[in-house]
Amino acid sequence: MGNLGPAGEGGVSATPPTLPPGPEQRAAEAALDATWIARAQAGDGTAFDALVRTYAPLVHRVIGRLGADPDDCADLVQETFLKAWQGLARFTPEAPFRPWLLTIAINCGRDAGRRRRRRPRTEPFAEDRESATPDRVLRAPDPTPDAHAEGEDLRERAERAFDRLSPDARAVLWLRVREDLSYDEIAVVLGVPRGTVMSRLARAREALRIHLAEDGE
Amino acid sequence: MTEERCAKLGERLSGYHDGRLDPAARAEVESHLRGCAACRARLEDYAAVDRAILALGAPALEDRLREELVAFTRETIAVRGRATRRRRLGARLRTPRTWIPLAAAALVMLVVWRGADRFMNPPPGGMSGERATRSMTDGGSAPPSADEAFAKRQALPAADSAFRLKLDMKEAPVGASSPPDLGGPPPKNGLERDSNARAREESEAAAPPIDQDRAAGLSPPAPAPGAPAVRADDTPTPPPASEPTPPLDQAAPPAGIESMSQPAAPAEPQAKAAAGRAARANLEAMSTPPPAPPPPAPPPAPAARGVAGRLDPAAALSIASLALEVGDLTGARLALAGVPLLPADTLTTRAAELALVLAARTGDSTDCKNARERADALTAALPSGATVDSLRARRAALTCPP
Repeated sequence: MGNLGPAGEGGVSATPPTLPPGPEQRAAEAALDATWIARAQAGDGTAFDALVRTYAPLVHRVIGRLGADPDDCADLVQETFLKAWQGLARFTPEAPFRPWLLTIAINCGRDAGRRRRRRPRTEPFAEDRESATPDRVLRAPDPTPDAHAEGEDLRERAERAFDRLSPDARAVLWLRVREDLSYDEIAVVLGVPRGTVMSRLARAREALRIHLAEDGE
Repeated sequence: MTEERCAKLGERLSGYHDGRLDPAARAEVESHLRGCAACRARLEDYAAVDRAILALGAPALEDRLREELVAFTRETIAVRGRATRRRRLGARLRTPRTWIPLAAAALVMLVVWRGADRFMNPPPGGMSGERATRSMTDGGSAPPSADEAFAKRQALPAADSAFRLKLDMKEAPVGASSPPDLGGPPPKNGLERDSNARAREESEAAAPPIDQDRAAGLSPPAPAPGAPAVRADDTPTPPPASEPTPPLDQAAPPAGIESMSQPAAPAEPQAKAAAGRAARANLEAMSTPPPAPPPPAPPPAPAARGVAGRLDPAAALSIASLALEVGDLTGARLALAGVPLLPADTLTTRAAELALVLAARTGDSTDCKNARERADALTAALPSGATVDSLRARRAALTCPP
């Protein structure tokens, strides 16, 4: 994750994950995925469409939130799915699909980060915090009017604290808390051992806790 | 002392917070927590940290963009699939085994052609084909013509021809080159893959389809004796359709060709003429654009009818989604009936989204009623958030007959 830039500077609506997925739902999703994946592996493009439709928001969210340049975001989602299609034959149906797909997405983000750094600096980078003008930042639709001020306050504080984290810390926290990936899944996605995931998570939590406390003072 | 123990607890507190510790480690953490107010407070902070992360905004992918993405992915995959097949054909064409019969066929055709050409437009002075060719290759005074260039090329040594072929393939305009499309080898060729083709395909898997032309230009074909004859840009303009079969004596091949066409020369006149016609027909077929690759197989119509209620909801949802995809609205309606309204989870949320799409597409009042029922059930059951907002918005946008 280190090669990805910082998170999109917040600038997005308060959208708490509305559906904390339980085991049953996970099982249902896995069954659904298995159907589609098997058909897609057999060359059924329609089934792959269904996978794209289902997982595009996830890939878009992770790529966008974990630091891709907003201009590149849609391209990277696109690239992720094309690579997934090419690699689908090598995917073992028993493995969970989300981590596999997110691994591809993260790698696409890394490659894009490298390409961006090789390019002459003619335009502001996502790394250049100051030069990232608001309209270059991913924005969700405006928050709903009934979102109360307290939630807004928490969100703003959270965004500020989150932005101060290292890319690695942001990645591990986002994948764990927002995408509800297991340690093993995160290890697959980030390409690090499970123990590293645990220690990174602990450090990231500690860092965010301190940032939040400082912001609250 | 406590500080030290707390430091040792380290990442296990985070793991404990996630509920991912094994029983022994969990017991250890719990026993520590009972005696350490600082760590209990920190654990509470971790919950607050999670709440903060949950409050973060997330970039939302608009439905419109999502559908564009789906469509674009589908198209790109279809195009690349075709490109891959063509590359395989191209690789096949570059092997001598395929070149030799093709070259032979093309030679036969050229022999007949040139004879026909001479028959239709006798050279000035009644030169025989052989003499005409020789005088031209010797730098004679005959006016420059397409024949001259042709004859010069025929006179080149085979190795040089192969080199020229390589150059020509490189220089040929993209639209005209496509050697992979020329041969139209039997279908089995498209299925077989030599190891080179496989390696190249894997290394180029991510490259745009145009690469096939470059690939063809970069790997020189085996210097088969008849290679130049199969070249696209060497192909003379086809004679008029009503061209008669040339008499044998006028169809004598020019020297340059004669040396390369041993098998064809002693053929019986009629058989030769027939072969010539067949060969030309072949070439004409070759020089026309290849038939468009078969469109992707039409998606199978989902066997949705009558399954509602007998499928598990996930399968029903899957079928409904596919049915909508292929425009089988009845199938989608029936399959959707197999997904319960509640409990509120992603499964039922997807079902509600599909129901709204279905209703919007059919405009049927029952579909509308069902879709609204689903949306209402979910908006009531789900905590407020983007999902609910999206459902509300879509429900409001749905216009139905009363």
